[in-house]
Amino acid sequence: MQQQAADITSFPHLFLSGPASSGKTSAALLRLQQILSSDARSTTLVLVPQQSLAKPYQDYLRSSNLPSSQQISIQTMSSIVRRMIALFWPLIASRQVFRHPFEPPRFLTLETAQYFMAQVADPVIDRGHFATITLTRNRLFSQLLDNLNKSAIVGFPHTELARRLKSAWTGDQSQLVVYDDVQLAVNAFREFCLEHNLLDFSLQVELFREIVWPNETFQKYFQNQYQHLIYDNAEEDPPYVHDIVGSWIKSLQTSLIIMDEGGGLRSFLGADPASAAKFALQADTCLHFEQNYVSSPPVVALLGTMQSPHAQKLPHSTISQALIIASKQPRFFPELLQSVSQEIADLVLNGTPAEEIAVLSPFLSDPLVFELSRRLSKAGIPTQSLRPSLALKSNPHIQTVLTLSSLAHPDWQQPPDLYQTLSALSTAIPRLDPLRARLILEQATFNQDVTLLPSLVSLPKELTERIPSDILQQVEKLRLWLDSVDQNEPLDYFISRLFSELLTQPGFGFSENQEAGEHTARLIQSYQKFKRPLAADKGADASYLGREYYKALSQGLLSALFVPEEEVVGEPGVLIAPVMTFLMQNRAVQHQFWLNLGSKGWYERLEQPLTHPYVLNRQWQPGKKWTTDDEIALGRFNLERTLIGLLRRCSGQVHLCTSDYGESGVEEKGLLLTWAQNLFRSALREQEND
Amino acid sequence: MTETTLRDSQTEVLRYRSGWMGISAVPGSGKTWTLSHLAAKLLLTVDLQPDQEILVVTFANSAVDNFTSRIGELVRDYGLLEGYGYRVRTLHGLAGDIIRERPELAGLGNDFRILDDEDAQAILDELSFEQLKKHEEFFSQLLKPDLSDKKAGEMMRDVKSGMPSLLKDLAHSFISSAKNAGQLPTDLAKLQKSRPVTPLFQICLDIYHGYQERLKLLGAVDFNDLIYLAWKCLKSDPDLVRQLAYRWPYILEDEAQDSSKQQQAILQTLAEQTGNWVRVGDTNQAIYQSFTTADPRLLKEYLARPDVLPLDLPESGRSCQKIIDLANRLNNWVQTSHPNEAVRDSLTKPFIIPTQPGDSQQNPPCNAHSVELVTQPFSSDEELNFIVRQAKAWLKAHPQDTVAVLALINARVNTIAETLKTNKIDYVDILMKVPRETRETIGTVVNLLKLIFYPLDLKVADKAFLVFYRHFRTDNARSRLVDTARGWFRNLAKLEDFFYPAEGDPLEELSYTDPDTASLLADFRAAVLRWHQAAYLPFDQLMLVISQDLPLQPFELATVHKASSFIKIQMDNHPEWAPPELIDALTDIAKNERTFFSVSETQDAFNPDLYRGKVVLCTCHKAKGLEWDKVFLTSVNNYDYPSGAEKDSYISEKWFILDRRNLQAEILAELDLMTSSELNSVAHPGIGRIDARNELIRDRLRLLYVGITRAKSSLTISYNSGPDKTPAVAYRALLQEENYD
Repeated sequence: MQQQAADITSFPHLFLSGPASSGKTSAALLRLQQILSSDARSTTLVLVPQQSLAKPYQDYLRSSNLPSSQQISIQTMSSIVRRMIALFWPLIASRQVFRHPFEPPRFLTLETAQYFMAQVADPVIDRGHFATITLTRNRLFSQLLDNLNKSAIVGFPHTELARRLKSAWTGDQSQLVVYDDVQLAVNAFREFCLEHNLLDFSLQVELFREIVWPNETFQKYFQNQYQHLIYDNAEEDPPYVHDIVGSWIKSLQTSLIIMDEGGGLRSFLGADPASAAKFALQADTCLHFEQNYVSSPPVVALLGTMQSPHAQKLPHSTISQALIIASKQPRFFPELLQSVSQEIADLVLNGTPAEEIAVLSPFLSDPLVFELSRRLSKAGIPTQSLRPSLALKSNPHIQTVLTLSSLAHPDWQQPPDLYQTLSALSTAIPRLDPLRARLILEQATFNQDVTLLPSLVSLPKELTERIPSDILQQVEKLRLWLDSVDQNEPLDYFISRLFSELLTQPGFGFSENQEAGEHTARLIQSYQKFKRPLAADKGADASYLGREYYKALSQGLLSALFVPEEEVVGEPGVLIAPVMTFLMQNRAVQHQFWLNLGSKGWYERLEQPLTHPYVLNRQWQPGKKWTTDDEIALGRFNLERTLIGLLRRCSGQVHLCTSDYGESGVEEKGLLLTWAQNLFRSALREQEND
Repeated sequence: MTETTLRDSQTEVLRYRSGWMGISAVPGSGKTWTLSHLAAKLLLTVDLQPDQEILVVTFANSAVDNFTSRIGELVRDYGLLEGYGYRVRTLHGLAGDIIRERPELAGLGNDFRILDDEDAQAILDELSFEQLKKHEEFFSQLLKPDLSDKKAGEMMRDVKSGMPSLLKDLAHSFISSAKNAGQLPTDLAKLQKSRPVTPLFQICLDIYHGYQERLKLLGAVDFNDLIYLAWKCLKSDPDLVRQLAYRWPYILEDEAQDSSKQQQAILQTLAEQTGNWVRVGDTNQAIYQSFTTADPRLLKEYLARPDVLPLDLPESGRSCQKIIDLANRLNNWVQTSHPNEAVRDSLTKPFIIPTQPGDSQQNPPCNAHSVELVTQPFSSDEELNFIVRQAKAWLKAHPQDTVAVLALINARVNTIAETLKTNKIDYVDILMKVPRETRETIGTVVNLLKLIFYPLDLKVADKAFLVFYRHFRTDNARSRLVDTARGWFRNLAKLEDFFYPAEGDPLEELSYTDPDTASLLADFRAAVLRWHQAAYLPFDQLMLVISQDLPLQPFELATVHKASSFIKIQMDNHPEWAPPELIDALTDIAKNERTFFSVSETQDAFNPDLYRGKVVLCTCHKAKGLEWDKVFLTSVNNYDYPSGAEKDSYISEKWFILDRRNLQAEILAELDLMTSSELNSVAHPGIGRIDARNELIRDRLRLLYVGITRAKSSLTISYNSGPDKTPAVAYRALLQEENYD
């Protein structure tokens, strides 16, 4: 079957579907190989919904000795959209959509869009709108943006948002006014963007779809770029991508569209498997892969009963080979972590590679990752956590740079507190211990704020006697350096100088510390992205931009998004990851440990009172109500999809881990726990009846 | 009690299989026992689907644990899977579950937070203060005119018992009642357009408005919101009702007398679909009415419905016959002879009857001292001395007995505590918000955190050292070692020379002369240095790092985890807080000044049996659900237990307010008017006063009944009197009925 899928001559336009772990991506790689060997001068676009899904293709490129990697381009549609808009800006400018069309576009990231949304929506809220909604402002802003994005990716005018949302509402009628407030705020934001040449994601998609894509010049340009397309995990993309690919497909020499049955995990972001399935109608050939190459026989048996309701009930012995439960359930969550760590240590001791073990939970709290990593590392087992990236300000190196930045910029009027400064000093000068750092800083603290570091000459003698003189000299060097900073120096230059002129010098904390370098670079990059759309504003001098950036970071405005990037922490080892992230990795392991079994996070959707991913979906019938029955049916569907997805990625056993009181300290009784308890209970009953 | 020894009344209850049933239970009749058995019996006999559960609802968190473990034991005995097919929740917990089904119906996301009482009070403090400042003249005019300028100034500033606390309490009652009536600030503002309101109403409404705004900024709801929003979700979505009613085909409700109108409406809405609702309660023990929105009349109305099967659990094996007689006499007197006819409904049938011979819970035998009603008019101090003498004598004669001294108000309990302390009588104060083990664990972490954030303070370091080795205390040899090490440690001139020696490690020399002490100190130092390295972590995680270095029991470790979550919430709610403020928040828990839902190896509930030979001190409110061999019920005078007589005083009628107006009653009556259809009625000074007085009188009569029924073998009742104080009317009636002079 895989060879068939790779045959570009017989099947130039192929639609390939099948469940996870059935060998679809392997077939795509074979096909890629064939494209490269048959047509060396052509270019192939590998299109994926998100970067993490590009990994097999990137690995392939790295491992193959291709003459030129230029022949393959691995992209997401949003990166193509952005690049093309920048390239074809004159075309957009000519349509007079923007108030100042001949000034350059200012692209917004998710974070900077949130910053500007705050500027627009804050006054709206202050006027009394959104009165019946209880949300933090950052969450509220991100839901407003989400609405705009949904209208763009599904393909309806943003002015219809309130009407659509209202038509599906079944709750208290007085709540409907909130959707008018939504409409008011998103309209105002869109106007603001058009006034200031700001392009948030929704506007980028709309402009691309409506102006750039239909343009003949563009079409010629784009069609010349690629001859072959491999589009993997099409079900995880929103319909606008399907529309674009669908209208393009016939002009390509070959195309392979891959769809994962049981996918659509990113539906809350607009993923639309039903829309992706329509590619089958355009293809010359459709292939379907069935075989499960990964799961162990008991897990396959379990999958069988789950997918076919009339299948014979499994004996208790088979279930307990697939799903392991502890003989005694601990009462508290920390005890559970202890027993999970012990079980993992036993597995590793008995020869299971650490990379073949994954600890999965619907949400990954800091304490969970922290405790588990610590316990396993005590046992000499490496761990790797895959989780939404931490807010920039939580990183100790970044904390240090930010604290020193605010000390160097008194005109920002945001002095760090004593504890931030203590931590920054100890990180910047590793030989300065926290006690002696405190001795120094107590001389410079007012109301717990530190505005300036004390000069060496100002320190009393009885104090300087308690601190080695070489350390005092280093503190003085740091102080003098900070004092000499030009207040109008752009923040990215300042950070870069701080890093190279001071912190990486011998005796300072970032010298020979590669991680610190990477983190500082991330901070610089974050600032540069932030300042780009703001820089053209009047009065936006370096000092203003620095202060605004610092303020936005401190208020959490730059880290309050629902879909932050994922960050890999640690070396390959036992994987600790949220369930969804693991599923999106398309990777299998021998042992899965499922934590927080009672949590509703296993199946419930993200509830956002100002938007609705299903109502604002292309498949939603206009005017239909979204009811509690829909909600419950969705929960069951999500749980089933998640369980099947996980079991198909399990080559050994699943360990069900639960304690009387869940991680939140209360007894939790979600559907997964009920499912597991019922599975075992019915099997036991059958056994007793036999 | 085994099933073979079931009382007839219990057998009757356990026969239940469907429909609406109401059970009136007397104190000590084994409500929890019966309801747990009923839940287990239904699990065994009713054909539940895998996704269906029997829902048990109760009032307090501690009761949830109690029910869960009892039902768990029973289903295990029946050979069923523990934890499966039933759910035990408080009403607030259930409301949270309902909202989480579809939070958007309540205008929430799934990550909404619940604000605890302390944080809610802090917001109200701030907002009340702003309003007080803004309307200073108006509030000054509310003061009694004959107050001196100095006194008037003091009352305007006194945050504990003056105008600031009065306004905060008014705002709190106003907001709770408005939410209970389903009225948001915007709703009230609309109503206000059609009828004028008093300035005080406007001020409370402004505070309400500000309060809701704050909650929104925090993305949080308070406990009243939980109930209101759950009700709103059900009211607006019949599908949700149907789904939940399917999931919970049986609802068993304990302490039903403490439900408010909205809480009852939630359960009723679900039960109307399923048709299966069992409510157990004792309206004679409804004691939360004066400071919550609980309303015992609702249970009475339920019991009187024609479609409800009313049953009684009248037998109680708790008290001896004389004490039972006294409680019944009080009940009967209130119903038939209370001089204030309006409050004769405070207590109702059933009367308590002792258990039958052969019952597994036999009533204790009576003796000459089973009921002692003190007739002597004591002053406040004399009553204290009397209690001391009596308690001392009792403990000496009955060292294995449980003893409690009960008073109505916290202040009196504190005074009694001081007196017992002065007289060296061992006592336990259960006004505790947090159990002792929880406070000790958190206290340990607090002391170690202090060392990180106050690293130069020798006293802090000494204390940290002591708690780091607290597990050594049980072993004499190791305890001595800790003392030696502490002696060495205390002699340090500068802490940095110990933790981070710049020239020569002081422990090196010590390791030659006293290696054991040196090793103890070195281990401590190594741990502290690890924590210093982790100090960049968020505060909540730093707590976990510290806990990993301590030899903690599972429940202690769970406590630290819970405290760490609590701190995370504080950090989210107060982003401006630095470590000292976070340490203060934890210290408040350790000092019992802040509520904290704890985890405990036993249960959260207080167990009197653990304190034999000690005097347990508590208020009558806190005593509910507990029992002791000997009970001293104190201060039974007309001040604490008014009857409606001319000279009686009422807690809500503040002495410093003009004409002793009951501002709380007025504001709540105005709120009632506002939301009622009576357009012609207008608020005026004095409105609601009589109703409020009668509510308080009812509440106190029931508290007296609760106090009496806490005693198993012996009860002593005393009172203190003064110029405005006389024995409570109810007490005088009891004295007469018991033929005391």
